[in-house]
Amino acid sequence: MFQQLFTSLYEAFLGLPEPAMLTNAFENSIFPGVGLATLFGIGLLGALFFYLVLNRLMTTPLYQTKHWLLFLLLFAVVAGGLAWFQAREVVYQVLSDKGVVIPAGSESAYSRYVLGFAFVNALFGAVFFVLWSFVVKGLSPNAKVTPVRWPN
Amino acid sequence: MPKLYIFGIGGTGSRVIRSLAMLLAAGVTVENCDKVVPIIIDPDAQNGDMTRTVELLKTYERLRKQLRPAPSPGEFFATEVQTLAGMAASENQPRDARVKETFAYNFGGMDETYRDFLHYDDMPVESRYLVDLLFTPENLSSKLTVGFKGSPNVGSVVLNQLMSSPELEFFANSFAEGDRVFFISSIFGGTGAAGFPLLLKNLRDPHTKLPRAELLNKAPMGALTVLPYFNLLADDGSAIDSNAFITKTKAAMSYYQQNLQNLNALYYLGDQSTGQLANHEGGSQQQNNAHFIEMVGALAVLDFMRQSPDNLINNQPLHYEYGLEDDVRQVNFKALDPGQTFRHVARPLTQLQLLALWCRHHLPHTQEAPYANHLQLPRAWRDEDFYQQLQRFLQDPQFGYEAWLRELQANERAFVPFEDPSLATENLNRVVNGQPTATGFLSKGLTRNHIMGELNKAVPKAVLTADGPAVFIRAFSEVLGKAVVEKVPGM
Amino acid sequence: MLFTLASRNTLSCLAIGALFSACSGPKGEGSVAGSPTKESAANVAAAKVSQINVFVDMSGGMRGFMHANDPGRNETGSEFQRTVMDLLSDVNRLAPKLTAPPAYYFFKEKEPTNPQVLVPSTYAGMTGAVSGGLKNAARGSELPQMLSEALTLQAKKPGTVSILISDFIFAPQNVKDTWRIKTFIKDALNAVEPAKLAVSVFANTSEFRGNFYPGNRTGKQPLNGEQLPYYIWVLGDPALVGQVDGGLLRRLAAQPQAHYNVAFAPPYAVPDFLTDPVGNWTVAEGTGATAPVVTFTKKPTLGKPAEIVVALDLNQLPASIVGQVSANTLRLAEAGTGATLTQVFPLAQMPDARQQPALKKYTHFARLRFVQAPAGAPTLHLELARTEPAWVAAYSTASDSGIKKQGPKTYYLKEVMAGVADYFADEPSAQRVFSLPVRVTARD
Repeated sequence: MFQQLFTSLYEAFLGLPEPAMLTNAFENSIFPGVGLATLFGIGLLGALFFYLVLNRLMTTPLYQTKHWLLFLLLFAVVAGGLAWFQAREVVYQVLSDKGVVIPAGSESAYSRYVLGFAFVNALFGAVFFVLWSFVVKGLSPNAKVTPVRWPN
Repeated sequence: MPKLYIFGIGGTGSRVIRSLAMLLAAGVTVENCDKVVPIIIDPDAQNGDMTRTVELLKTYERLRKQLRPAPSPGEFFATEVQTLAGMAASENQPRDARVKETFAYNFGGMDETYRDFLHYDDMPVESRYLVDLLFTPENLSSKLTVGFKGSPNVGSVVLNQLMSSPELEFFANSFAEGDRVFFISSIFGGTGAAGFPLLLKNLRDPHTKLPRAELLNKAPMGALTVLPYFNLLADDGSAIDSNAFITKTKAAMSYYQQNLQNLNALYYLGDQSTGQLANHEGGSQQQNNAHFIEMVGALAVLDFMRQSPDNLINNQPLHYEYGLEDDVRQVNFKALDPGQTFRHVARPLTQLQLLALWCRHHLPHTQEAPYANHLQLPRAWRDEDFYQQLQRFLQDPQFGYEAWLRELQANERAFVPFEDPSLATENLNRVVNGQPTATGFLSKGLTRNHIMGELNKAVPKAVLTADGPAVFIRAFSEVLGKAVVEKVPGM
Repeated sequence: MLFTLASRNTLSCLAIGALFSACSGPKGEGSVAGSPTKESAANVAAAKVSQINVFVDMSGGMRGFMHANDPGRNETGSEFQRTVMDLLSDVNRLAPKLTAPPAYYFFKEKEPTNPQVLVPSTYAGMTGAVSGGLKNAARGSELPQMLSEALTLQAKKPGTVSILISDFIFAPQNVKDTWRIKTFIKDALNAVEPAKLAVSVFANTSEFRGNFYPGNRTGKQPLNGEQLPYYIWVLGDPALVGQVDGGLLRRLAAQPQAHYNVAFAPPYAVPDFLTDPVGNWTVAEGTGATAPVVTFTKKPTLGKPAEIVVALDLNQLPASIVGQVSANTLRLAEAGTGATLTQVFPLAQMPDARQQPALKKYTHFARLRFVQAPAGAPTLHLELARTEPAWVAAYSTASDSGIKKQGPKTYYLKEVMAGVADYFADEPSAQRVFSLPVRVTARD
């Protein structure tokens, strides 16, 4: 279920993977893996860290909107990095398992696709962080109104 | 709803009422009373002390009116303070248009000389001689706009017109069973020394023309008379000579001994005077810095209210004096007697000081916190009337709380309960003089983050029981009160 | 060179062979399955050779192959002796891996006194006979009888593979019955259903010293070292025969061969890592039991067709078959997808092979073209049609009286083989050398 969801999400922005030989690798392993990691690992854990660790368990000055934005940026970068490294790692693994290399003409298309994937995942990381922020912020007494008051 | 009517007569009256207002703002409880009605009597309409106190009281009243529901005892601005005329609105009495909506009795601008006031020129010769006997030529030629400049003989004549004023009639009309009256005056001044016995005599007169005379005759009444506690610089151009203060005191005291009847409690206060203030005869320049004695005077009012009516009525007259635990020139909380004064004053004042420090140094830095957001503080702080009034109350350079503290600290005998406010810009660990909050590796004491965290929790709680500005007061009272008790050692 | 080495070792083994049956011969595959491919792994698990029956023709005409050797005259054994001894040794070594020990039989003529065609023997007896000469040669047994007896015996125990070694000269009693050779053979094979039988024929030539009895029943001819053909036939279940071909008979891989209904399963795949693929598709690799699945991520159309390349590893197939692979012989059963086989080319003509080492294990490539999306998930089959090898005609002769002059030929071999072919004529799987399934489907 998640596989289908994330595959559709990513391919809506990126199109089918290039080169075509990596389609299975992307759709079966990379998209769901990175998608889930970004949704829960970065989005949820990041929101929990900001709202519950920094602003509930501890009382820090890091409750303002500008700090939230900084974290948003940070998590977006982490999400992008995660996507980039994970994609390359899995592809490398698949290629060496099968004993094939990426055809010479497709190298640049592949690089572009992975870079695009990293950017799209950075965007997703930011979006997921925002979504989880709204879910979790009610539990944080010190950052309940960061970035906006709704829905508290 | 028992009320307390305070007649603050003259400059000293104004100044003691100023200190009392600060204590009430800090949350000190006035027992046996729901409402305080200060009435300032000073013919000098420009008197700096009076205008200062009147402004302060007006600010307090405006603040307090916006707190709905009313704060609980112990919270900031718990006690209601009202003008005489304002009481009409709250008690559904018909408004009397003649009674001005102000704390000060308006003498109607006395712009003539005493001589003209007496209609000297129309007097028969014998009366003129009597007048010359009783009053100096300076007395006769002085204008009355600035009060009586230390001449009670003048004052006692002029102030009689007070008794037939609509204000006093209104006061008598609204006087109820259980209400009390307190007079504050100085014994060495002009207006106070004259006005206090005059008022008392008239109120206690069974044949007075005032309505509800029976109630007035029997109600508990107390007075504070303040003995000299400051000197004035010698100034030949001024009619006031502080060297004569002691002489006048003795004269007044002997009069009181004989003629002060039916007073339930009399409080005496004074201090060895060493400080010298600038010699101003009156007007807006007569603006003495706040003095520790005035705060103690406010304590006298509170002590009076603490007594039960039976105690007051059956044991009259009760006489009280005040003593410090420690005779130091710089008084802090430790120098106050622990049994009474410290117990009543230390925590509320510290609470108020924390509030003032927070508003000045830390509120601007926490504007994005949830508590501020709930109260819409960044905007409300600028635009809403309550917060404007609060800022004025705390920060006005003329009559505000911070100014009052500064004056107390700069005076001779100084009252220095708190450390320099500039030490509190980062955290609130060094607030009370001699009682800093301990910090360690694990506990950072009273930090901005700590208070902010507590406020974040308290404001949503307070929203359940109050709205608008009352939430602010309730939450801050709770948090700062807790902070004082838990984090400041020795409280 | 492999043969020479093998035979030297075998000879030394034979010296002690009577006493010790196990010998550390050349480390070849001792297992039954030579090199089971991934695709037939499942089959291996399912079908194992359980027994091997070895039959050697002991007619007088065979003696010339099994002449006793005189070391003094530098005689080193005929090719027949060397090859058969190696084979017997391998079979013997295989014995522990089978469910029953191999059985060795001599074929002899049916005699009134002794109606048995098969003479059971032992490893020792057979090796002794092959190396030292047939002592009690009987008159030659009839080829059809040999076949039917072997098949009958084989049918008794499932999983049995029969190896027949003979010169396969079928001389009908009536010389004029040569036209019936085909039928005789066909009838002989009827003991087993064509679907359950596969026949592999390996041809070889060997020196012959002795009397040669021509098939057309003219007088015997003494030969002294001339080359004559002999054949090794492997009969059994289609899957097992392929294993034995690759295993026991690997030494004869270069020899002329003919295979009937032998199930070849060469490794193959649809590589998805080619440069410039045409169309958008992905491949899910097949396991041993399932075919690879090609999924079109974008549906091919007439204007935008899709092409996939099927890579075939035909290294295990006989060279004669591999040599025949071309666009003419390779067929596509397109199962209604409208796909066409557009090109067949060897590894040398595959440009991607330079970059992709994974392609180097394949020998041939077939390009398939799609112009429409398949409905459902049909399975295509890539098939190689079976053609009769050319060498059969070359080895066949209508008259073998002048064998010295003709060179190695066999009397009416063509008819014999035609009989085998006829027997399988109605069996569709016998018409194909291999059939490789590929599933195609389209993503919506």
